[in-house]
Amino acid sequence: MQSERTRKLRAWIRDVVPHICHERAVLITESFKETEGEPMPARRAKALEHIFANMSIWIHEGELIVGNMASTPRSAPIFPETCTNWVKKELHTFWERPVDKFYVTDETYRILMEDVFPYWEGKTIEDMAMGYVPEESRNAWLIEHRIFNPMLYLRNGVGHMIANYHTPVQIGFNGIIREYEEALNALDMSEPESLQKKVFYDSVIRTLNAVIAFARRYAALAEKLAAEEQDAVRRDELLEIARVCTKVPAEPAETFWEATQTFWFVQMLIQMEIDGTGVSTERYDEIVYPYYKKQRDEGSITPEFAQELIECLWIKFWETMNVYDLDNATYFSGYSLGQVLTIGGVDRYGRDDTNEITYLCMDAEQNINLAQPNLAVRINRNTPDDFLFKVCKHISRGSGKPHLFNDEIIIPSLMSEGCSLEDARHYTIIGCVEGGIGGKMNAWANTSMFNLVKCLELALNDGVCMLTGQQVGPRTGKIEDMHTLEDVIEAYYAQVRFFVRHMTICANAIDYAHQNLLPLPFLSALFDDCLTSGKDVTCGGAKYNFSGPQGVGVADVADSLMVLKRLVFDEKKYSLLEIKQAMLDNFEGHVCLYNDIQNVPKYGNDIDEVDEFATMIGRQYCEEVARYKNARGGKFHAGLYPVSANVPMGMDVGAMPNGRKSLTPLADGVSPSAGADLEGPTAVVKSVAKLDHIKASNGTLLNMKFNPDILQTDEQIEKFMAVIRTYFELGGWHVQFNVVSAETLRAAQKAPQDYKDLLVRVAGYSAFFVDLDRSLQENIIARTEHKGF
Amino acid sequence: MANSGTIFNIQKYSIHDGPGIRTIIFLKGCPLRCQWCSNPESGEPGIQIVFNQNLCVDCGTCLRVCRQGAIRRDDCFGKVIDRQACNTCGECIRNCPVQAFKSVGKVITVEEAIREVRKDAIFYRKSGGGVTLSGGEPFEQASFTAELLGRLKQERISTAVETSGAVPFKNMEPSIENIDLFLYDIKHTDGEMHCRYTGRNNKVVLENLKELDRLGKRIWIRVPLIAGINDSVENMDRVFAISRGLKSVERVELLPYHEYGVGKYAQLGIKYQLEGLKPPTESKIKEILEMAAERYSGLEIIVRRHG
Repeated sequence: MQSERTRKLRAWIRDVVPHICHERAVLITESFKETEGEPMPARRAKALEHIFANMSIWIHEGELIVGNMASTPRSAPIFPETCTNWVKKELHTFWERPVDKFYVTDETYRILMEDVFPYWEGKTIEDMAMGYVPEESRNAWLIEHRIFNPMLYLRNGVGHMIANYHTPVQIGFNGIIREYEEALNALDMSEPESLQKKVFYDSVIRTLNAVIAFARRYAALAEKLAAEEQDAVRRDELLEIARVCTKVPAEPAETFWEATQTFWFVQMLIQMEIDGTGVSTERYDEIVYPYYKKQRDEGSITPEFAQELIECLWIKFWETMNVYDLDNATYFSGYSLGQVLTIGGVDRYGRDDTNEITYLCMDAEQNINLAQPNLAVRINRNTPDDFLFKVCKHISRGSGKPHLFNDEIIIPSLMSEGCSLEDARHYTIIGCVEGGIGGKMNAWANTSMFNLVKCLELALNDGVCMLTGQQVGPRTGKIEDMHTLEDVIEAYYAQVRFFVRHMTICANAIDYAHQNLLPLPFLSALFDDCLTSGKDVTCGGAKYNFSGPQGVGVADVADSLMVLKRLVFDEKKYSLLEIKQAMLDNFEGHVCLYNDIQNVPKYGNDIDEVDEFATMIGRQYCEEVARYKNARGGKFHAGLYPVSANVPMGMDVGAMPNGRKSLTPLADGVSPSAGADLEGPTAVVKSVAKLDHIKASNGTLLNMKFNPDILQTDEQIEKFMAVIRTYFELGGWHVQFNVVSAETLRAAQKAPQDYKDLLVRVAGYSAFFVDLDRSLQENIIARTEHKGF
Repeated sequence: MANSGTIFNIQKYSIHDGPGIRTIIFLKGCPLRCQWCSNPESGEPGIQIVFNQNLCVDCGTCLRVCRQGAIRRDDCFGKVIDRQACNTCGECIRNCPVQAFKSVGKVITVEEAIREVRKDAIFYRKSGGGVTLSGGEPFEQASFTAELLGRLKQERISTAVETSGAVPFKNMEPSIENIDLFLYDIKHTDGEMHCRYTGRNNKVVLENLKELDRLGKRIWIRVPLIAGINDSVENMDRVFAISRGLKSVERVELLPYHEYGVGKYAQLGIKYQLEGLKPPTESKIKEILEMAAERYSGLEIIVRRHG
């Protein structure tokens, strides 16, 4: 059952046209002009204080959970400290561009262009980062068809971590302020470091006080609205909102409503401090359950009302907005903010911790069914079958949500990177599929994309790009001199080594720019070790510090190596030169070769001979990445997932030996190439599970598409559950499903207005199909659809 | 003992042919020619090349490369392959620029088949599934089938066989002890109708069924429900009566006809006899189920709409 309230709220929010909001940009610019010359942490804290005191706030009709990040719902605030350069160029296109459109009023346009951007010229992350990048690395990076692309954190904040949500709920921000005041008072100011620490502690204390004052503005607004309200029921609700926001997040929560309100403030405020995406939460069900339980025992809350509050929270997630530049909007299209909310999984002692709230979250998800929050469910061997059944039943309805994660692999994986057992068990999901630890790990997940397929192209052409003819990679040998498959693989490895090295250098350059320009006092308050280390989270204050770049195109490389093995080296039917010529010709006029390629085994069909290549190249990429240290005293660790970048990244790669034509999409995640997996879902999960998922500690992504016809009956859903359980038992990290037929997707392309609520799974996130870039729509249609027989 | 057989597909994640998640091995060759058959490529025992006219651009390459001169243009099917002349060398497949030709059927050994189906053993365990032999008619390749089933049981894999029943009982005999479940077709209860639409009488079918029942084998009766041919209440009444009369029959599964197989006839260069045939109507199925509920209460009847 869905309440009238959340039904109305959802209907309203789904149709709001996204706008650009200039308020935050104006306020931070005003503040920064006032604080020139002061230490950056102090400037950032004062800017936040100014923003929180002066930005517009509102409470929409019917809302129970309050807090807005822009002047109107689903508006994207502008963060000139990160994005001035590109927004200046692209602002006039925001309404016309093909994906992720934003409406810009004339007033907003004028204010941003005249009052805001001129101040920030030369002061952004991008400006400073490029100053850190050595020329050699710049040359390896900024080529026409790129091998790696760390653009996201060059043009936006980082986000992509899990903060501590439970401490604000449990002790309130006043509790945290007291801890910081104690630390401040304990400083021996004759220690030189203490001067830096004092600036940091002051910045946190100032920010948290500003946050408390900000929440009380909502209390005051609610009181004012209550005084004007005619409806007695709504008047009481507004008075309760006023009471809640006076108390939290300053003080510890004592009710389910209070805990949920604090949870939302934390989630929203992180995204107002800086425009990082992938801002994801600790386990909501774990944090709020004790408050729910207590009230249930007292008889002061019903499950129905708790669910209603959860639905109000869900709608808030969808209300938040961020704007990407066109490149990144194409990479991550569908207004994807990557706000993952995780439920389920084991507690710190390893016991399954699925509780009543976990179930209520699934019910709320079914009612709200919006692209955000990106709901993640942790599965372990003791996850109750009835809960998994409920989840699968929801998946069978086709929204692509939730996606599923495997405790039994992710926990050891994080431990292998040096996290403690207790911390690892506390993991939740960041952005798409990355694992993070609340308040402990500054993950920098999604650091960069890395094109593995392009490396093979270069290896087969002595480092020369087949699309431009330019020498972009190292000379790793002419194919005339390659006599064994090992020669080819060695050249490929050498290309990967070269570009991974430069990718880490560029990522570290960007990291230093963030450290200089973007200390984040609010976020730092939510990282436990910042208090003891006296360091901002941006500068390495967290307990664990990672950077996670993703390898893309595992399947294409594996299938290509298999073709070379079979047709060139085993059967000797073709020479390497003939293969290269066919690649250059995009297979035009090479019919027999092309047809022979179709008969070579492909990754995804549970055939060891080719799956072994996928395992091998996945491992090599991960090991190569893991050799490098990052700029925050931590290290790099690799993932194997593409978000939706496999489509644009395909535009950088010529034809490949596996028969993939020039400029077409790469395989997504660790999934088989679209259409290559002919043996059904069981073969797919067996192939994919052969990869070393523990080693890919920044996450792997498996996309599967099922025809809705085979997920109709309970019996069919039980068989589907067996596939999921088996994939996880075999060692998979993550799996997500689209349960929608190609016919439905084609129909939605033809009549988008009739399918505006058709939610599909893109990559690590769901989006409304009609909001997606056309090429991405085609890619989703092209994924193999499992029908079952 | 023959240790290899001809199959035309190994289908994993089969969820409609027996309990749990199953792998189906489709054997080539069938004594019947049911006019509605959705796997017409299963009829002939040998390997065949099929042609998809929808992909063809009529470039003429296949006509040039076929050394047997077995391919000719045809007004109706685009290209027709002379089965007598074709030696299945595969040159047409290799040279076709639009992949309009493909080969159906391959010879595999028992051990190859075992290796393949063993890959999904973990799914059988998780779901209570196993391997189903289907076809074609598995008992047409009696010794291969018997040896394969024997090996499957050695592997501790649960087995089922989907059969038309239209074979001499001696073809079944060596396999029987290694079959956990029979999916046994009754296509029509009337001998003449059976003959008219499948090419053979149903006498052997019904006799074999009785014999298997006597041996106490688990049986699921299956009826492909074909509108206007066997979906009358009278025929179904007789099917249920037969089923009720046999102690080993656990359930009856009705498989409403679907049109997915029609396109394959053209690919084989065969004219489809039941052009325009539609699936049975929902009201017809309802009528049958109501009759069953009234007269055969307790008999488990399942409608399998997909596959």
